[in-house]
Amino acid sequence: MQPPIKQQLKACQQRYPHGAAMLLVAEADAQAIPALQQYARELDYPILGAVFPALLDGAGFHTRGIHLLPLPQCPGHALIDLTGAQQDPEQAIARLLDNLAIPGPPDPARQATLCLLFDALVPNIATLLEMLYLQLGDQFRYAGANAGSERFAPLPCLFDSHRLTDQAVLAMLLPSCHRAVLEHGYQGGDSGMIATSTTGNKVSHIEWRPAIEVYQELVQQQFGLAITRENFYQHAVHLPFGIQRLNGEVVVRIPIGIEEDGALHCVGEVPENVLLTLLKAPAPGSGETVSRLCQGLQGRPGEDLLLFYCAGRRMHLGESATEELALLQRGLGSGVLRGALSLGEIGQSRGDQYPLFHNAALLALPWCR
Amino acid sequence: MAREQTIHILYDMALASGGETRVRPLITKTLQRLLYHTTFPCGLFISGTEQLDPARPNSPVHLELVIGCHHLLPLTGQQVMLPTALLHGPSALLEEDPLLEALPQLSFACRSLLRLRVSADECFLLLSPRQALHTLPLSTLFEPILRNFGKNLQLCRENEAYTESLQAENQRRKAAEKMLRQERDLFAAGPVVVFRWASEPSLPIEYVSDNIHAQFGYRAQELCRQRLPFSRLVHPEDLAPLQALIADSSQPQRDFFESEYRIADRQGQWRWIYDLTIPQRNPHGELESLTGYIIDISQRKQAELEQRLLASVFEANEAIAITDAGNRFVRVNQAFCAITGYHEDEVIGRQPSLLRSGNHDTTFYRQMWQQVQQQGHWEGEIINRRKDGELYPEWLSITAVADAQGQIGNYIAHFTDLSTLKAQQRRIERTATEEQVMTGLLQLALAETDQAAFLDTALELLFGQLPWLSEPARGAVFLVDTDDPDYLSLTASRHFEPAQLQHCQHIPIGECRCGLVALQPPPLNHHELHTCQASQLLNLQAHCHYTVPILQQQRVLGILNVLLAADHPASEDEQSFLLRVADVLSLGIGKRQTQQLLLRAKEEAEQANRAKSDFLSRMSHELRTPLNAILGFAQILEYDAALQGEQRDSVQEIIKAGHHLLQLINEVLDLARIEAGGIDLQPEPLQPAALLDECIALLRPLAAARGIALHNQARLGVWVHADRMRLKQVLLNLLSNAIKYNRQHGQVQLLDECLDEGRWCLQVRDSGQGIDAAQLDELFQPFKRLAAEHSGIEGTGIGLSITQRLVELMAGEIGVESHPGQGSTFRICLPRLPPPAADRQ
Repeated sequence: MQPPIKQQLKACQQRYPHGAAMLLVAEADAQAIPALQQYARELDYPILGAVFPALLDGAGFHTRGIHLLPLPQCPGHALIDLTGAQQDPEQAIARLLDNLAIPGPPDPARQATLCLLFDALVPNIATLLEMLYLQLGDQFRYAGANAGSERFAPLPCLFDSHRLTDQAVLAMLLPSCHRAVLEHGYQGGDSGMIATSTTGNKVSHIEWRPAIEVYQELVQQQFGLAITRENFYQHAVHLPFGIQRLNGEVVVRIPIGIEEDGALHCVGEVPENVLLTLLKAPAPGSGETVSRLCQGLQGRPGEDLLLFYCAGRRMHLGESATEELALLQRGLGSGVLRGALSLGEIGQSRGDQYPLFHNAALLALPWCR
Repeated sequence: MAREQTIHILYDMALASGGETRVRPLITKTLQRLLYHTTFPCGLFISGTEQLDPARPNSPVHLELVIGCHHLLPLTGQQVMLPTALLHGPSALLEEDPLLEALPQLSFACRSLLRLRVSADECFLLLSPRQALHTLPLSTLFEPILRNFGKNLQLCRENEAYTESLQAENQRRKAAEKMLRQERDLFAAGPVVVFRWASEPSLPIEYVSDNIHAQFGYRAQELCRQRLPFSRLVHPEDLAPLQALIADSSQPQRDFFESEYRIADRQGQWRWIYDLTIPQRNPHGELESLTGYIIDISQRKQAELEQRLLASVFEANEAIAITDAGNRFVRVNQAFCAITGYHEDEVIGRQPSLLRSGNHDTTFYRQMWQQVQQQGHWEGEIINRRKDGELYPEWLSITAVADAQGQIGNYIAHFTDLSTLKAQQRRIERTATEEQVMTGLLQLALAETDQAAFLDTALELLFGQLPWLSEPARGAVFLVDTDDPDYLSLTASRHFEPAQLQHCQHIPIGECRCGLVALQPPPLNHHELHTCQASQLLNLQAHCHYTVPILQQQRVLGILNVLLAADHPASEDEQSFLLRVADVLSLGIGKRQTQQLLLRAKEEAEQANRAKSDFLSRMSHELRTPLNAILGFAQILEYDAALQGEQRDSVQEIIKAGHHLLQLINEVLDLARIEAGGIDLQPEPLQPAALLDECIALLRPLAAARGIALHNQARLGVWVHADRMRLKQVLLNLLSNAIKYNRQHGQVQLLDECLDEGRWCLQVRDSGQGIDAAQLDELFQPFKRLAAEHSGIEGTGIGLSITQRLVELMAGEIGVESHPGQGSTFRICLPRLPPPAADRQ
């Protein structure tokens, strides 16, 4: 039983007076945020947080509650409005860099992690991420997740001590100990199709045919399942697209909606002309993904872990998702697993690779104290 | 991964790079795709690898793009030194290569490098801290994409260069437009009006800046819309020089020209402008238009004019001097120096007392300066002294100049030299006097006075009026003695000493100065001014004199001698005047000498005429006495009955000839008396009509004897003033002549008329044979019968002479008209009288 959040906040301040508190708020408790902001201002203690569809811990997923993750030193951070970022992404990135107090020069031995929490409804997160990497390069590691409502309805989901907003990004420079690892465990199929017409996260045509038709055929061919407009939402999360990379890996894109013209909306952008495959999800209960995640974390038992678990993945895995959490918790030993159900994940599959925006992934950040 | 999938991915990459048109996005997107699809987190795009020197371990290359490696990010776009071996060669995957350790610029220890050659000069380098875990032959897999990329890159570079040039051009154009707008704004707010004129002589206005309205009142749009010829605005006197400049501007080497001239503003006022015109030419150097920048310089011109005026005022003919508060000269002008004779350096610092003449006492100067101090101004005539000591009159004006506090700081004196003016006045006055003298002399010359009186009065007038003669004026006129032309006689003199009078009474021609001049008159205008020889003889006061010959044609009539003071300067004006005087004297002297000659001749003629008349009178009287005796005895003899026929005829011939002789003698006596003035007329008012009737009655028998008809048509009952008997004599003479010299059965007409000038005229017209015109002039001379001597017609040849003299004695005139073969008409006119009161009633 956690003490009330305000007490936790006050205790955090007392323990880390120069620190800050990262707050993960379940969508159902989002109404508590203004009071928390008020309290934080009263304490004169910075809070940085986001609203997610649900929270998680080692025991499972929770639709209520607030996680407080203490940050011993208040990180450099910025809450940047991204309204208009689709039209002018360069200007949005420039504002982010202007407002994010980047300490320099970077220390290669203590490579910080740029943690980015986006509103899931920002349509061009992958583009923004590429631009950010273009500007900053490998001076940071990149990690992050998308916040918001699982229903993909507009929701003020990002906040600091003063503001609660949507269509924004909350960027935080976390110390080097927060070395994130991302895994999803999805495997690409043998065949692929070209996304011949895309705009952002909307796939209009695949192989010059309405995307839904091709999707329906692929599902029918590979899984014998007839996808209709009516059952689309029920099955699509289990049958995501994958953008095939030349190194054999895939970037998951979960379809989440159909338009009248047959175009499909995905979580995350789908660049035009990429090779799409229908992914084969990891088998429930395989534990393979968690296993690889733990390998990536290089096995530091007793270390706390912040985990963003993709909401689509949970929908696909169902109860097996909770099993993955339990498996991960076991891998942590005495470490505390806390996290949130996310709507997209940002990370580098092997830490020093090109950062990408993923779906259906688990992003784990060791939470050093 | 299936081969088909690999091809699809490569296809995607090829398409991704094919959609870009700019270099950097193309490279960026391609490199991003390469990184996206491989395990390499960092990538570089490098150019400049074509000129590598393999012998050198490191080579400079251009780092065009960096993704991932933040240490290299700041070097993007710069030159970096990289290992030559890494840069050189075809596409290749280098792993665990010792060369990789030579990349200290990276933020990580490079374990794997994929070199992708785009061209000899360009390549991608993909870098990773890990070994590449690819199963695909990456170094060859991307070859088609890289070739495609290389082509696209070239296209993009060309496109970008073209775009950049376009943008640069656009920017230059925008900058130029902005500058033009700024210039226009600047011009619009400033005084410089910009024109563009067509290159025609009349300069049609194609453009003019809006500020012309503020400067000259015109509306720019109006001028441009009408293409108004600018030449209409230019002052007519300035147009030709301006058009010459414009014509000259067609010369290719003419970059610009400047001019100052006048144009009319909207109100018609002339305004001076400065014009800088730049010819606008096409690429062939041909003149297309003219751009003019004009500015109103009227105020400057006015200021220049005022400056010139001020300068010219100071350097005017009037002398100007400025003194300080201590009344010391601080500045003088050229006129001052010219008048006073002092150089500027000689007077600066000195006081005006330098110029004092001594003609004015201290009171004069004290009062003058007192007035300047009190009233600020003084002016008046003053005598000053030039540097050379000469005194001269001047009109001086002194003005005190006070400062803002009322303290006198300077005095300005300006004066005019009156010397010339005064001399002119004197000349005018003398000329006027001389002309008065000349007029008086001329009147005297024409007056009816004798020679001595004329010359005496002339000298009085001459010496009494001329101001330049010594006091008392002395002189004389000597005339060549008419009785003894070898001498000059003193005819008139003024203020001659008695001894001088006596000495000069008769001067032999050729002696003394006067005699010498008379002997050999000098040429015209020769100035004769000599010490008189007589003065030495007579011990007279030293003097000089003009000796002027009085000439008539080339003949010396006399000498005018004018004595002058000894120091009298020679003067052409005086001599010229005296020559004119001599001419007038010559006129008067000549006139009188001629009159004397005429008078003498007249007296002689009259005396001769009187002698003739006396002779005729006496002779006629002596002839008539015996003739009367002859006629008396012949008439007695005629009555003797004893005379025989032949004897009687002889007696009658004696009587007839005797009567004729007696008539002749009577008429000669009449004529002699008339010419001798011995006839006394007794004129009275009378009516000639009655006399005429009487005469006709007397002559009617004579007329009848010849069958001549008398027609008296003179019916005017006028009154005339005439001697009754003599008028009857005149009428009888005219009528008898008309009958005698008429043809048989001819006719005589009598006509009369009244003339406006109060005269009555009677015409006696006959129908005889008439008189030749050549003989008419001799008709009234005595004894001229004009070939009638042989006609058998009785007559003496004296009747018409007597008739003419009688008519003239009665204040009348007689005349004749004759037409040979038709007859003659004699006409007498007499003074007409108003009729007596009783007659009028």
